[in-house]
Amino acid sequence: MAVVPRTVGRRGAVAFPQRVPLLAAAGLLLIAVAVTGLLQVLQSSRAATAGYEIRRLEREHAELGAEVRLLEADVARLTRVDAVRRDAIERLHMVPPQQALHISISTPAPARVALPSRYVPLPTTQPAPAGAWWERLLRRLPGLD
Amino acid sequence: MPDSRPDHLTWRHRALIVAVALLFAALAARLVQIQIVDHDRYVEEAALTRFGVVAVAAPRGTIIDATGYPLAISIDTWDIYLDSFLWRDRERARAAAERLAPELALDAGQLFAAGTAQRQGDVLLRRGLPYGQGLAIQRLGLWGVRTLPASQRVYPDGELGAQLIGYVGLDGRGLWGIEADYDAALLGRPGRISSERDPLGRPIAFADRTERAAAPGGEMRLTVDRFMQAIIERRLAEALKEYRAPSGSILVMEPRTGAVLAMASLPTISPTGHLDDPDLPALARNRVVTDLYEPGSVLKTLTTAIALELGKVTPTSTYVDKGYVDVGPSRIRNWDFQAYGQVTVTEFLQRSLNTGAVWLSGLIGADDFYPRLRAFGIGEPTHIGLSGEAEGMLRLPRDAGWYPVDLATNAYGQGLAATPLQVLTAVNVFANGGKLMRPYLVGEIVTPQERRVFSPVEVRQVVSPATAATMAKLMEQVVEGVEYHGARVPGYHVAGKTGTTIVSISTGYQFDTTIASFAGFLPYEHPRVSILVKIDQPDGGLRLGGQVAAPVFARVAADIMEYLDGPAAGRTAAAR
Repeated sequence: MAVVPRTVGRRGAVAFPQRVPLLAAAGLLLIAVAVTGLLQVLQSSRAATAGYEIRRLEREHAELGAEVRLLEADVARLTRVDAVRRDAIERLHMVPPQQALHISISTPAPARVALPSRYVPLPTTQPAPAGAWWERLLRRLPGLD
Repeated sequence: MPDSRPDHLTWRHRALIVAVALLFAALAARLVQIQIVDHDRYVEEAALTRFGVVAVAAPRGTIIDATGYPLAISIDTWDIYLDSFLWRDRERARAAAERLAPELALDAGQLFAAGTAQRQGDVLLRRGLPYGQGLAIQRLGLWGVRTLPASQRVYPDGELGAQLIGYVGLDGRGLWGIEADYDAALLGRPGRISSERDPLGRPIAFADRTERAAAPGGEMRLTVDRFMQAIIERRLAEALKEYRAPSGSILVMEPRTGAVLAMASLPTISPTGHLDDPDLPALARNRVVTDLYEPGSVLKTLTTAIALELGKVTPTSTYVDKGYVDVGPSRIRNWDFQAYGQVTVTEFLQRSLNTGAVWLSGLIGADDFYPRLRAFGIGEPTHIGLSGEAEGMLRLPRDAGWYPVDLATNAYGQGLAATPLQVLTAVNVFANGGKLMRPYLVGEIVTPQERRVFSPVEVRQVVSPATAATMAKLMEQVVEGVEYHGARVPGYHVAGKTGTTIVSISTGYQFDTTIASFAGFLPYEHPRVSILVKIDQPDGGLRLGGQVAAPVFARVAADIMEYLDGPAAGRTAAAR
């Protein structure tokens, strides 16, 4: 009886290269360095963009604040007692009544809104929803948020 | 050739080695000093060169009236400077001047000359440029043109309450009035932004940055109501014209709390007027608080209240009026030189008889009169919180120069002096159950950190509630109990008292000039406002308090009650 020799593999053994080629390792390292560098660049770029955006918003905030104060002063000038009287007489041609008729009504007067408008309470902002776990993870990565 | 060099170290070598070693040691020592010992200092100096600091102006707080209307508000402006160092570059300077000139409506040549007249330093070109205009110039990015943020104080209602509210100088600090007296609360704290900069001085976006936000000045709400203020200023101006008087004052208060609702004196200062006006100190003075006058017959109410409180008299007690009374060598007469015979306390107040006041002062005595008069606040400051407040002048029996006749004259308001504020605060006692309230002007100060609300302060109980009620009734009878009293207000019961004083001068009295006044409150049943009117030296033929001040009181009171209550149908019909 003839016996045919054959290789019998060991059960459970994995075919894996015994040694990672040096070139591949260097490539991986380079890729890691490149990714790290890219993240750094992205982070710096984002920080710079955010910095410019902050300054732009600060300028805008200052300008809007100044405009609000100017408008408040305008509102005050237009509602001064003698301006209202002058407007009533000169523009609307109103005159003091010779005979006044007063009617009382039971409807409550509308609520007075204090001027300037900055005394009016602003609506409170709602916090943004948290989002999915993978969104939060991405946001944690520097430069990718 | 023999070698002349020695094969050992000579003294020269050693000296050189020592010198080099010393040099290196000095170098090392210097390095240690720089790197270790003075490390912090050099880090700080390096930071100073790298970091730029920008001051952020804090907006001055707004002054609002009781209705929320801004009486004084700060708006943003720009100051424009030329950098003469940069303008050494004549070509770029000329280009900048040509672009800047039309923006400021200036001649480009003159502008160029102004910017190049000196070799360094900044040249102030325009102060207080409107915000939009300054912003447009800033966006042009002109060579050597600096725009610095500034602010300007504006008073939207012009002269309204000018003496009371005050004004600020170029440095943004208050000069007089509320602006000066509450400067610390209104001023705020400037902020600063410190950031790392590039070699051209531009902020580096992602570098270190520290920021201290500007804390805006406190917002101040006064108890003054601008509509009432406008009413009294208008009525006072009309009165001065009608009675040809050089000056006058009107004060409106809430007797229950001591809150000042309106306060005015004429002539006044314009907040937009020139600060180098020689009359500025006189015009800017809040005479309701700073100036003394002899209150005259208004003070008879206090004398009567003291007598009532001590149980010396009742409203029906009588004395015989002969038209005069002798006190020592002095003879005191009634203002009208008339004698009325048997007179009750009520009639004495209605007719405002000097003899009645002398009679009461005799019953009270100096030992009781003066302490109780001081309890009304006469002769002491009210502590309203405004600078320059006068204490008043009240000579006491222990003082040099006091004579027994002073007790008699003081009883009808002569020979002592008080401010209009002191007088009305004292009269308020009768409208407030006998309690003396401290007058106050500021209702609330709101800063980013806190909110301070000022509540009414009771100074003391001067007379009992029963005495106060009796006095209020007597004062109501003064106005409502006689025919054709000038202080009557249709639709309301008024309680009040006239006062006529001969003007005192340094050598005695000026008998042909008077100060006409009236102090009262309404409605008598539930007093809501108290008003004092003082007209100085009326010269239109009418000179008495009842002729001059009482009608002004009536007009002011009618306007104020219409403002407060609205024109109720029946009352308005009767009034008009």
